[in-house]
Amino acid sequence: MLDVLLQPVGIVHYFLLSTLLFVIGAMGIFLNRRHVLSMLMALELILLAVNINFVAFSVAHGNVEGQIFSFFILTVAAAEAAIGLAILVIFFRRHHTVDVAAMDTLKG
Amino acid sequence: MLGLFSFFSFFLLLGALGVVFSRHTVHAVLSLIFAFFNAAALLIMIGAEFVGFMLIVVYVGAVAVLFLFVVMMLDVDRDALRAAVAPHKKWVIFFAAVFVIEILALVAYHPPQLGAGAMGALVPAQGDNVRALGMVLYTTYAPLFYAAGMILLLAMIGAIVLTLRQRSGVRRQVIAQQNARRAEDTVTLAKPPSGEGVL
Repeated sequence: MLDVLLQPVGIVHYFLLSTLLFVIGAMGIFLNRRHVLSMLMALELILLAVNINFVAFSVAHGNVEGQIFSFFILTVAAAEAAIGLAILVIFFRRHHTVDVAAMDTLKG
Repeated sequence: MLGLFSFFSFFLLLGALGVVFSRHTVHAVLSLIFAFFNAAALLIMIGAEFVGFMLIVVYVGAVAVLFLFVVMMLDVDRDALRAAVAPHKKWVIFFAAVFVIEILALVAYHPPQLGAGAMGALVPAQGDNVRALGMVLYTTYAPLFYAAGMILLLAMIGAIVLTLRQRSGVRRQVIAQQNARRAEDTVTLAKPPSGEGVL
C-alpha cells in the first residue's frame, strides 16, 4: 500500500496535472465569461498550467531552457495582469460594471 | 514521491476549482494564491527551485495582491453575471471532459518518447539550479532578458498612465505658471486714507 506512495513521479503525471489545470482554467473562462476579473484569474491558471508543462519537460530533458522560457511567460503574465487590471479599473470607473456585454463602446 | 505529488496536485486542482466556482470574488483570489503555493511546491519537488520560488514571489507577492486590490475597488455581483451563463454550464463541462479524454487517449496511445528519464522518474538535476539558470539566462538569452525588462517597464508606465485620474475642481500647483508671474501684474500698491481701509 505504502509502496504506491513512494513510486517515482514521471513526466506523464505532470503532463496530466497540467492538462487538468488547463481545462479547469478554460472552463473558468467560459463559465465566467460575463465577468472580466474572473476571466483574468482563469487566464492566470492557464498560464500556470503551461509553466508547469515547460518546467516538467525541462527537467525530463535535463535542459534548463524550458525553465528560462517559463520566466519569460511569467514576465509577460505579470505585465498582462497589470495592464488588464488597469483597463478593468478605468472601465469600471466609466460604466460601473465589469460585464463583458457592456464593452461595446467601439461599435460607435 | 508519488504520495507528495498526489497531495500537492490534489490541493492545486482544488484551488483551481475554487477560482472558477467560488461565489465570492475575494474567495476566488485566495484560492488562486492557494493554488500557486501548491504549484510552487510541485515545481520545487522536481528540482526547479528557482521557478518555484519565483512563482511565489511574482504571483503571490505581486499579481494576487493586485487582484485583491482591484476586487476591493470594484463592487460586482458575481452571481448576477454568472446567472446568464448557467444554461450553457453543462455544455462547458461536457466539452472540458471531452478534451481531457482526448488528451488521456493521446498519452495512452503515444507515450512520450523523450530522453533517458522519459517514462521513469523526474530526477532533479545535480548541482545548483540557480547557477545553471544564470549561466544560460545571462549569456545566451541576455537580449531576451533585456526585452523582458523593457516589457515590465512598459507595463508599469502603461498601468500608471491608464489609471492616473485628472480630477476637475482640484487646486494643484502649476510651477511654470507660478514662475511666469511678475510683480507688476499682480501686486498693486494702495495708500488707503487713515480710518477707511482698502475698498
